[in-house]
Amino acid sequence: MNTLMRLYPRAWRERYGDELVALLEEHPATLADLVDLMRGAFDARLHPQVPGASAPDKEMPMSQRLFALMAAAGGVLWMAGIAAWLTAPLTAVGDRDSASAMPMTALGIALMGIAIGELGTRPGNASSRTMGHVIAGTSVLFAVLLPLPYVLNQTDAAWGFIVLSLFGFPVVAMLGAGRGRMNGVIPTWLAVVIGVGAVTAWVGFGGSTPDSAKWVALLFGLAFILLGGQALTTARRSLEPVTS
Amino acid sequence: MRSALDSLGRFARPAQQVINVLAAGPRTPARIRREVGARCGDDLGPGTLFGTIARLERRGLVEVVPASEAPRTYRLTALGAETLEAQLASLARTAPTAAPTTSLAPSIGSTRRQGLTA
Repeated sequence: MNTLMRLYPRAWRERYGDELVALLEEHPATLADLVDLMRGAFDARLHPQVPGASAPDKEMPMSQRLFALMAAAGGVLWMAGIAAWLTAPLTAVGDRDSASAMPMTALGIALMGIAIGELGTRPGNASSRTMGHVIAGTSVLFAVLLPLPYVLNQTDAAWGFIVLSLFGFPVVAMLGAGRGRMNGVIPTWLAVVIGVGAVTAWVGFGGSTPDSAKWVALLFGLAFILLGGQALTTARRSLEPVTS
Repeated sequence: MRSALDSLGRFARPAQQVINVLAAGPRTPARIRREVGARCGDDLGPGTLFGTIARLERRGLVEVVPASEAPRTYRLTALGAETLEAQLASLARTAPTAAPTTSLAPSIGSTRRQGLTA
């Protein structure tokens, strides 16, 4: 129930939260009530009736939460893609069958790239926002390139696209982390972790790396899960009242 | 004549129901929900109920009874009572053969006598 309540604007919760809890104590929520509460939360944000309910400085921006979740989800997809690739059966020519890993990895790259581009943006700065979009867009391009040869049935060209995408995206991620560090929105330690993660991705996909060492590429995904968690935590902390 | 509730979109019907219930006197949200269910057969979900109350409160049609302990109780304001009277009068004009819902009238009167017009 607390999770549902958090969907409502803070001002709304302060005004009606206690009454809602009292109501639900008397009438335990049914499934229809839960749906109605979600609809009510959406309405409360879209059509705020309580003064201050829409004040942006009192709420974690929805976009911040969304990009944080994208970072974490992208990291998980990246790790799942790596795991699927490294546990896939070997083909006749000695490569691993990447059919199941490819979509997860591509989607992971897209989500991670959008997240690092947007989360690294300096608030209220138009040129920084544009650069964030460029980083996000480039990452999405890498994500599209990865499965493209398979979609077009041009598998002879696949290796070039894979190299471009899997080695190019970590570069973009490093740049994005460095930019976020310079903009003061990504802490130094996290920028370093993402940088190290990018290196592990290169090592993981290196042709001479033994299979057992390729698992190190999982760290790149883990770095983005940390990025998502950090973005959520920072935004929440900034909303808490300052106590003297 | 356009009612003040017409602009409430999907909340117009719940708003009418809440006002009807509050015409009988101050109520907590839980009791409002219960009585709307008993009178109309509609189950006002909690999100809809508080969305309705917030709209009515913002438009000055209902208010919290001062010094009411938790959970708060709501009552009609003078404007809310007038809105309900206007709704009933409009209904009586458009449906002259229908039996008026006279049971609400004394409640409105008593609500006003309790000093809500102040």
